[in-house]
Amino acid sequence: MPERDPALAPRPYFAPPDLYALMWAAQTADVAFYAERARASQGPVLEVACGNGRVLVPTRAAGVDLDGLDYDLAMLDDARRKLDALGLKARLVHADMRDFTLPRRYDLVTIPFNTFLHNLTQADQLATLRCCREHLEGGGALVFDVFFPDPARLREHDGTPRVVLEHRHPAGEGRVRVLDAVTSDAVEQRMHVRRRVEIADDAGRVTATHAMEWDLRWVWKAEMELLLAAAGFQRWEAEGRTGAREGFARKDRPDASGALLWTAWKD
Amino acid sequence: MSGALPSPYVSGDLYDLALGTYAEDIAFYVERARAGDGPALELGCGTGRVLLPTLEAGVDIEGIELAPAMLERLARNAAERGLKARAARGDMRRFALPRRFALVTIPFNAFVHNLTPEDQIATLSCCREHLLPGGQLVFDVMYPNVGMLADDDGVPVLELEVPHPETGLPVQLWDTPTQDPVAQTQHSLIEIRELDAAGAVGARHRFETTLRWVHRAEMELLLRLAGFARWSLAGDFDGEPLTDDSVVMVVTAWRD
Repeated sequence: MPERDPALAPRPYFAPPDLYALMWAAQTADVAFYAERARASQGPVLEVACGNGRVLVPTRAAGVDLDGLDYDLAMLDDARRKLDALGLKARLVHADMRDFTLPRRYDLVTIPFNTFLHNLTQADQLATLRCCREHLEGGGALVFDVFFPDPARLREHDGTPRVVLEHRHPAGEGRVRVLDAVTSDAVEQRMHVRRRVEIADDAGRVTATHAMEWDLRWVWKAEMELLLAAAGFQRWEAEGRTGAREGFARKDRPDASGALLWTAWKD
Repeated sequence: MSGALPSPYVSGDLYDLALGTYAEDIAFYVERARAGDGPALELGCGTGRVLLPTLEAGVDIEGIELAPAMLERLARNAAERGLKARAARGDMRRFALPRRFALVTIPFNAFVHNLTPEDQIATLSCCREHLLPGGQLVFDVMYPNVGMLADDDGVPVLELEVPHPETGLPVQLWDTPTQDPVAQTQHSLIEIRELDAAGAVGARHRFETTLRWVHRAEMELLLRLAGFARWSLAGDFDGEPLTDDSVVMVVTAWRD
């Protein structure tokens, strides 16, 4: 079991592990990308905010020397169970991405799938980037993806529930439907998401619902470059990608839809 | 897309025809300059729209401007008002003056002509270097509210209509913007229309320019990277907080 850091406030992630897995069961394109990126690294890999191992477990299964950290102990326990079931070992650390100290230095540090946006203040954003940079070997890279705040989408932040995900239940029968009601403060670049997850049977009858909410702070492209510079990085690249549910495919140039995939090197 | 038409700053006369009487920001900048404990410097002083009223208020102010045509018009405007204006040709990203100032200003969106972070930071650093300890950098830029960002591209917008100073007939300033939200740039096709007595367009003068807008958190990072440690951001010239209805962001940054 990962050792609990007593200094960390009990601040569980917005979703319990089983529900998290249910919501993102159909999303695999970014997993394949991060696993491949980790396999290509020249040294050990750290996944920041690894959660219950959606990316970490397949990456470890691909033979990568990999550590993971997360602030939610329940998520880490679940990741450990999944690793155990596959007979795999990985160091899992209970820690906050803004302030962690690990003994190793890494060739690759990753923060997959928008997790960086859980940093709600500029101080938190900078602390996270600095801490990641600190844990890189010279020549190593920090790789993370965040959605681009498409202005057309920001206009839809009116609190109306909209279906954002719908897929077959991974257990085989029934469907999972996810509705988000989003409000936002564009000056603070902060959005508040109220989510309802509906589990339905094959006849379409809703058999269970779950509610959760959380805040995100989006980051503009030029702003991210300044954050990287202020955190001590001197070289970076932003690549346009389609969303993780749209194949996470590389675009010729970043546009207002989908994700920005950032790579920042420690020289 | 850029480069086919001249910049709006190639003719001080046409600039003044459309914008010479624009006055919404003048009281604010004059008041800041009067309150300063020392000389003032205005970057992008143009034809003297703000600089001349500041001089008339008794402030020791000098200006820097990149476009020679604007400086020529400024000299004429000053002479007409019986003023001696001190204004030199210079680039806001890299200027070196012998004096240090209690106030450095960049009125009316001139800062958004900096198209790269290197230029933005160079401008802010150069301003900071020219401030006396305790001095202030004050400037205003367009605020990219969500409504503006979601505007349709390529639709002409009537920005301003003023009477022609000689004929009294309407002079209109039109802007047709095209935005790139990733690069944070707006290409503006600008047209000054002189209407005749029948309301038909008599003369058209077309220009183009590119602006790079700055979001609030980004502005704070730019200030930090340029060496400032203290600033305040407002949503208008009365010091009201920035909201998503704001159309302008007014920045004050102190050199401690």
